[in-house]
Amino acid sequence: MNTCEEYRQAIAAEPSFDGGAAHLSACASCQAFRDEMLALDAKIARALEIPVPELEMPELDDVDTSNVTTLRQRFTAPVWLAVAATVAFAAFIGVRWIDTGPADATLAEQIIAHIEHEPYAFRNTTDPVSDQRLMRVVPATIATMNHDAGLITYAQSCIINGHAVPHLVLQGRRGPVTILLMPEEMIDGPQEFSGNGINGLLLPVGDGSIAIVGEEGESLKRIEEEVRNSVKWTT
Amino acid sequence: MNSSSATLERRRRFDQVVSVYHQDMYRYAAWLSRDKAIAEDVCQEALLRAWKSLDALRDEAAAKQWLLTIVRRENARYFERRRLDTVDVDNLTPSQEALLAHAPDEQVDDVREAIYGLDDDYREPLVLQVLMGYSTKEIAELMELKQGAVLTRLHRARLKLKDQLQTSNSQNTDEHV
Repeated sequence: MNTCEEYRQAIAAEPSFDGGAAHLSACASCQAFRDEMLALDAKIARALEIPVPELEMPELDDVDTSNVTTLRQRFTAPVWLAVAATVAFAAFIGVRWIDTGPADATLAEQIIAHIEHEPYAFRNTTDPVSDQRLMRVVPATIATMNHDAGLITYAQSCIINGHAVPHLVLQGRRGPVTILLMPEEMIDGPQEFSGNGINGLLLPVGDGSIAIVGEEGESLKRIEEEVRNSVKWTT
Repeated sequence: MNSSSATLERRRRFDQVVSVYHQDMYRYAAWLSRDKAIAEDVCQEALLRAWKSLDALRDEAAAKQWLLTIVRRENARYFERRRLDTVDVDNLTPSQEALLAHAPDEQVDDVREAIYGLDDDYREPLVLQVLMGYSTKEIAELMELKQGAVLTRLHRARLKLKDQLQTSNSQNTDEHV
């Protein structure tokens, strides 16, 4: 990517494009163009968010379920990953909740159950997800987020408690740290939980909440501050 | 699993998937058809079709793509059946105008109107990328295009919007002078 024209074509097609860094650092005009395209995209995202009427479910006919197949696992992971996931999940089994009401326990149970199904997220890696990937999983219609929270090595849009939730993994000092951005899950106040080898935090943020789960000894307070500084709800 | 519990489980699964993606389905249908009433009809038809073919959805991670593909096909069927005329932005029906109902922010109104005025070929990939968070590869798959064609359309769509908004800004400025 050597010319302004090539760079601008790429940016106008996908403003989160993160290539062409060498050109960008040397071209103030293209930097301005990129900023303009990012600002335009934020406006487009707001404009596209038209109000949605309440869901009216049509009358659904009975369907023959004799041949229904069950949902397969979301990831086909190698055996060692499955074993690692089992070990990691075993760490959650003994979780004891501190100062946690029944409604939040339900949310927490769903978080734990969800993590069980994402073994690939437990990888120790230094490969960051791309800006494009991050923007797809955390679209401007949910939140804005930058890389200041730390090295993000996993990003996947998931369903928790009936809502689409960005599931991110940061590499903390002691291993992978799971971050779940839940703009639609309001909680009364911060909640801490700890268990067999793990620590967790549920934090109220605006009208939603963020869950941070890491290994015992991981400094979640440090990560909490970074996550709070790097995430802004747009819903 | 007996037949009754299998039916209940199937319905529970359907409700969960639909509750998560209903808003995306509606907004996609609305921006495809540019008409609120048609979007509601298309969504109803899409829900019926999704319910019938739910067992084809093997991977929950693909639910959004699966539902939007159904919406896209239902929208195409709707327009095939009705053979509607192209929308004239200056002569809208009440249901079409409802999509452009005024937002609290005047700037949002201008952008919404500019998006509304884009050709289908440009509006659809933009909606999929910005609103649905699709990659260009995913857009290419859904629209059955080459990735290069998607990139070209997205590039042109943004430049058209940029020009359109600059024009309406300068018109507004002139009106206020």
